[in-house]
Amino acid sequence: MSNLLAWAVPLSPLVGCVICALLSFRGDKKIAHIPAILSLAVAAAASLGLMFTGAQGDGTTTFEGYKYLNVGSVSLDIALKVDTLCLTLLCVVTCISTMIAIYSSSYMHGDNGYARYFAVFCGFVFSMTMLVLSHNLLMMYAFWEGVGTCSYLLIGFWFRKPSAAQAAVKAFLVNRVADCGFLFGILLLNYLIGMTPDASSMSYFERLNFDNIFAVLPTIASQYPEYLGWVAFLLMVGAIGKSAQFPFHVWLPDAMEGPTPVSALIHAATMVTAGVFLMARLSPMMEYTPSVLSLVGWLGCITAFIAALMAMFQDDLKRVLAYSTVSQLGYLFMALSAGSVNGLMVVAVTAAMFHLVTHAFFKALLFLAAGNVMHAMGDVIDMTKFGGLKKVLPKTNVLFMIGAAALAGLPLLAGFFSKDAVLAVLLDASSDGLYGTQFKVMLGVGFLTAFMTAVYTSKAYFKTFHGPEVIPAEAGDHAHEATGVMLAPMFVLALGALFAGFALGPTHVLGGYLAKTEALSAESTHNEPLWLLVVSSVIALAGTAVGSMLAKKSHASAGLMADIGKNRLYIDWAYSKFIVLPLEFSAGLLAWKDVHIIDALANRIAGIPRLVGLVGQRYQNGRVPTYTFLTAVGVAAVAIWIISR
Amino acid sequence: MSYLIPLTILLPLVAGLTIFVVGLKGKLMAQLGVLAAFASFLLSAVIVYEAFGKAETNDGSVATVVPAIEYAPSWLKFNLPVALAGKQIKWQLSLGVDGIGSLMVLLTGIVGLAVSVFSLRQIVNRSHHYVGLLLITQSMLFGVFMSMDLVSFYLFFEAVLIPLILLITGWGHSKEASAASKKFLLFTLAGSIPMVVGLIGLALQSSAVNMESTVELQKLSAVAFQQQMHAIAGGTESIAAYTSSHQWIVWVLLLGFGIKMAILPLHSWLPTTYAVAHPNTTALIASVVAKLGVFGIIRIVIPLTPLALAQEAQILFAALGAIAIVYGAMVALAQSDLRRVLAYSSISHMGFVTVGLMTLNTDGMSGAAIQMFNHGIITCAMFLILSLLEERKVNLSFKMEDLGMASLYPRIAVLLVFFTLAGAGLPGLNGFVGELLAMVGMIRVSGIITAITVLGTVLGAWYGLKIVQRVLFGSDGNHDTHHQQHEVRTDCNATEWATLGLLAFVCLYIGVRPSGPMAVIKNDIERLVTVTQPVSKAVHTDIDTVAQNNN
Repeated sequence: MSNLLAWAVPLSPLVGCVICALLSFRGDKKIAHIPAILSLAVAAAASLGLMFTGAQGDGTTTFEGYKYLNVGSVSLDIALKVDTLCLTLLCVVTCISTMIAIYSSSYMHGDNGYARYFAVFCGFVFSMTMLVLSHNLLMMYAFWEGVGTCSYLLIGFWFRKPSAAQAAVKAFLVNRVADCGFLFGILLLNYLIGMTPDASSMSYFERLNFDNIFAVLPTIASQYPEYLGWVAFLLMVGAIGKSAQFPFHVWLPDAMEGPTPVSALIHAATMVTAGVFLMARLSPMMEYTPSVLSLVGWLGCITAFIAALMAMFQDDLKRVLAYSTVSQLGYLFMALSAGSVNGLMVVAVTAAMFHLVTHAFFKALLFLAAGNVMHAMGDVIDMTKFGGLKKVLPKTNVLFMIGAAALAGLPLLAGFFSKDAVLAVLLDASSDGLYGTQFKVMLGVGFLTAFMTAVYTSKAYFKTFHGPEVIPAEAGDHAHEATGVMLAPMFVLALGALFAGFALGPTHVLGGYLAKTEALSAESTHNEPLWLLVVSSVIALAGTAVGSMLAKKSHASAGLMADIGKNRLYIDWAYSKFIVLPLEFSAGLLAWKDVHIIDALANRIAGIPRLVGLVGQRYQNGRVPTYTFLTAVGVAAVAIWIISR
Repeated sequence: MSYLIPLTILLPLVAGLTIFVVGLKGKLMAQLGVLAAFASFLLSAVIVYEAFGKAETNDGSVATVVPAIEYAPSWLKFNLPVALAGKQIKWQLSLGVDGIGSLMVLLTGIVGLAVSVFSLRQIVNRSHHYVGLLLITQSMLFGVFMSMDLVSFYLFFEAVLIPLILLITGWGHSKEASAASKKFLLFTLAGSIPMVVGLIGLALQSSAVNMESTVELQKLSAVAFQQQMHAIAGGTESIAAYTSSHQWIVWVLLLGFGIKMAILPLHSWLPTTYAVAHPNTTALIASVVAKLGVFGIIRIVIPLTPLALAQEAQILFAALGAIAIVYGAMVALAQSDLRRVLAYSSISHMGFVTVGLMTLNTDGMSGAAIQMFNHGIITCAMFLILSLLEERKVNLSFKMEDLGMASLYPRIAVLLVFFTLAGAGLPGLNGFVGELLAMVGMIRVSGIITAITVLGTVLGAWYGLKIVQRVLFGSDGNHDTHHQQHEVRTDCNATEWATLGLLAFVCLYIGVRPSGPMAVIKNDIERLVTVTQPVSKAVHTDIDTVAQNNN
């Protein structure tokens, strides 16, 4: 039974994907949402079923699939590993994707690529669930690339727009650079495991299974500690690429060129959390390499801060949300890095997963609400062009407000508890001797970022829904509230944004549930002081107040800071000038060299026989005097040679 | 004794010659040719099936090249009119296939069918001649992949060139075609003459141990195996002695095969030829003919003189392969002509095959063998799609503008995106399997080369996505109103859709379940490893071979 349920989770979206793909070729484009929603609902039901039947058994259960490859040192089964860590994310992915598919059926209505949209959408859910259920690092990498490809196809969904086509390529390539690290890490790990004596004695040993990796970790850590550090570092590079952390954060804001529901699902709730999931999954390995964790903490810290800074100065509502996603993901990595302190790994992972879950709900809600706004405003998303929409979009107003309040961390909402859990972990870690200073800094940045989050969130909210009513010309006169099909799933998400924090956090439901995973079962001592709750409430409220005041100012401050913020701190600019351009230049140089040096050289060599011929030709001119002279020279030479012997 | 093998070689040959002789007098000759191509495809599929069914794990012999099915009739035994070292060389014509060979035969069958189907509509002038020449080329290619002795290998290897040159000149860009085919011919000849010398050198190996002279690969490989083991057992000095007597053989052979596979500084014939020949012809050259060099290395150099290879050229060639991956991708990035992009991408992809081969371990060589097949399928599809695109837009250059062809030709767009992703090594499609295995093998040999190879995967994705973006996306494709006369305005037709769909299915199948095709080549690779593993361990003491003791 569990076996069936486990396989239904990924395979049902795959079936949906195939049906929608066939529909898109057939041209029956009106009905593609039916197989999609059905298949996703089946997947969601199956994953909830797995959760409630306790399919993980004691710790982990693996459901066999088929033999993928067995060559030399690479042995890979396609099989599903179910434990509570993956079930947590799995339920989030399948449930939210079902909600968003329902929303999309109305949002994408009438689009030319309706069936294509749902085909890739289901393909994404298939890849994502397989990624989450992977029992093997290599299998995880495979689906890691799979979700990246679906993301590429969906960002470039409106491919006629040059900006969308470029954004898609940018997202894919930035991810691919990071995935290079992931792949190289896997190769190195595969090699290292082969070098450990006990591993090589086993026949047909699936080296990259997570269980086996964890089993040989102590041996590797004692024999090749520096290599293990490299492996952890390289795998971390993959993780921060997918989760859009500095310096790989540049692709995510551009990814907003895709349809808004896609941004909600892939670029806010699910795919971007894959990096966090990878780190959580590999937490036993990361425990051996605290320096890598400390590094990821710094990166998360930088990302959280600069993304919040950039979010303050964006005019585009979706980009505000995009930068806020990047910033919140930074929190997750900060939380994870607390695992570098002895004994805090379990708490760190729990806090990160907690914030991941709540963030998925309220950020998806916010994006869908932004989608409603965009729908009503005739695809205009620039906040300077509309405002005061609470009369036009009364229900969206409320929904956006719930999402924004949760994001800002207003007391008792989802974001409040989960952000607090993250900060509490950082506080715990800051008393450590070795890494304490780092976590003190990170705690400070955490508070600062929380304040900034509240500011930009409330600014965006008040600008959009309050103040004088402005409706852009593109909306025409049919600016209207979204349809019921669009609002219904949003209500579900809103419930999550309101209550998920309270239900999962203070009650220790999530922590207790995650503790059933073997790697996270260690006893944890962890306390959340009351003053932290008070301080973060005050910060959230103050930030909201500041944000609402900022929103009333008709023009954004045009200072230097705003300029830098609008230009994304010139990071994208620096990449294109100092990395892409030199690469393209050297590509051009190589291409020139290939034709004008290598090929020309080959042509010259081919010319040598002809040259020899030309030299000989001069002496075969048919004139008797020349021949006589040459004969004489020859005879003389022979004579000299004979004499001199 | 299986008559399947001569039948597979003769059927396309006879069909091709018939079409040529009957010519315009007969009707429907081109269609007949396609039928013959289909029959050869079926035969090649049967050969894979037979070879897989009869593959034995180990028959106790030390030969490292053992055909699963063979055809070596005693009446085809000749005394060659040359004597080497005082011994008459006897040539027993022997044909046979092992797993690797059968996979290449299948590739030739698939590609031959796809190309001839496409040429029915694409080739306007003398299409029956075109198909006839295609069939003859195909027959010669079958011959190479099924040769089990040095002489017939060499004969077929060179005979491929004759119909190919005609195909390039006859249906290419009229002006540059003859210059390009001359270049192609000269380059190849420059490689094949040293190659003959090398092959003779190998044939002499057997006389060194007082055996009857032979050119048969199975016997030669058994002799070679004993020689290598003897040399290794003797320690450093005997290895050095063996290497010094064999190094020239390795170098001349690598020169010959290297030119054919367009290894890095010897590659400049490739872009010229690919840019000039008709895309259909290029599909055949890029997918099968460009594999001949690699096939030669895996069939002749590795089993017959692995010690000298490991000592002399292994690291150098691996590095050249890795550089070719990056170099080809970079140069492809700077091109604005789709033909040249694909030409350089071919150089880049073949780098993975080289890297895989030069690992000399199970992982890498399996990866190389499967990558030969996979790249053949992908690149064939890419060039066929190119021919479709060129029908729709003469002068397919995306230097100035995004062409936006996706909105006009959605089917072609889907196919191009699919095969681009396959080429970029997306997991779940076939390109991934070979690349992964090549890298897994290489990291045991050299971390730096692996790192370069991994970087190559990013660049590979970059130019791939760039062509997709510039050719398919970015506009609605209607901005140029002045269409030229011959341009086709519709999406690809059902036949083309089905043909490319078949190729896509193969890509998907191998990507999703590679253990099937890997089982076909498993025994052959394991046989090769029995000699290469001790050899590379003896030569490069710091190379890790621990990991291979698993199986």
